[in-house]
Amino acid sequence: MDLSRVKNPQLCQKKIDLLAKIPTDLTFNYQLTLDYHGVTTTLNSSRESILKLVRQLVPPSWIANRPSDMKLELNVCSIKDFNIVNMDWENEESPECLTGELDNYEIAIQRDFAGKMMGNTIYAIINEDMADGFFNVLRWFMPRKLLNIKKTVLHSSCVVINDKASFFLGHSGYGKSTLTTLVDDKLVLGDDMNILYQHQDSYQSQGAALGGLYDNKSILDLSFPVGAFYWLCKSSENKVEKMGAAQAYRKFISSCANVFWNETDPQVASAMMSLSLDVVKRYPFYNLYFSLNKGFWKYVK
Amino acid sequence: MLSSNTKIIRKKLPWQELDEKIVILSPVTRMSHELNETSSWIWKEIEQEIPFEKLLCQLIDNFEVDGQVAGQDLQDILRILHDKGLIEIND
Repeated sequence: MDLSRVKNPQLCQKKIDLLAKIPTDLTFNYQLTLDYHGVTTTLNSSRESILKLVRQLVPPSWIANRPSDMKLELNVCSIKDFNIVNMDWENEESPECLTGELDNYEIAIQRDFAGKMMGNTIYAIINEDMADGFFNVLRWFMPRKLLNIKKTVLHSSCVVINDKASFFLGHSGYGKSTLTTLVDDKLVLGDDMNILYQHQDSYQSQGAALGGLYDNKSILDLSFPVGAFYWLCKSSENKVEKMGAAQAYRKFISSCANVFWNETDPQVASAMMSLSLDVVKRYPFYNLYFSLNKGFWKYVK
Repeated sequence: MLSSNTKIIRKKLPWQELDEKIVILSPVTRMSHELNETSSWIWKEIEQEIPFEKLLCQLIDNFEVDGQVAGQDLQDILRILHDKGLIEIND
């Protein structure tokens, strides 16, 4: 792990040292089982307050132990278990998530969480008074786990138009979130992370429940068939142009969130590539030149 | 300047062909690269190690182009692919 990439390497090292202490120094007595987009996630926590936080974040229907092809054990403890206050825990300017290895575990250190994973067992330290840390833990490992059941998390905004979901992809700062403030009465599934998965002979979309402004519980239970994909380009005028297959493939694969395909199982990378190819062949992709006003909607089919 | 016997081979990287264009994913740089028609053809030809001279002959035959121009163009393309970390050039 390259500690020179953060402003407070001492804090980063402290988080690594804390990870080495769990689970030995703690007990995880509180349990909740979630169906997280088809991943059966057994959440064990050191405090009741962590379960309370999670209950607030997911729809009640997700708190269930359903049969699935993917099972995880997520063990979460609190900074309070180590007598750390939030001001000290998040005393880091960089939002970057550093990854590395510790005692055969894959580890991740970010401003608001520290986590380690071996196989399908994950340990994490968060501040349960804020949702961000829990969401960032999920963002770190869940996209790769979802790929195992042929679901991908797209860094995107997703808006329902004529009962079909349009995905808006693009670099940070190119208008994905802004676009969701210009929707009038259209339904927004998510402004940051959305799930795409195959259902029978087509693909469906759903809010990811991985943080963002639109992760409210009533929306998370809804899913819609996919209509089209738009890559946002900054422009002084609104217009669209059809994208070639090769470009569409690159844009789609660059939008698959937190897969770390360079560091992970080649099978996961392969699964992502075949899913990307299938999506590109089935659905239209457009460059959407977006001037940050509502005029672009007439170009969105 | 590449010599006749300089060996060219592509790296083992994930790639995909779409509409006769090759898209290569480069894990180290976390980037993807889209090749044009000529570079895509070269990518397929260098799955196994091949001398520069032989690759040039095959290029001239396939695209029916002038040998001198093709030689310079091929060198330029190979240099770019090498600089992007996609191929190995062994003198």
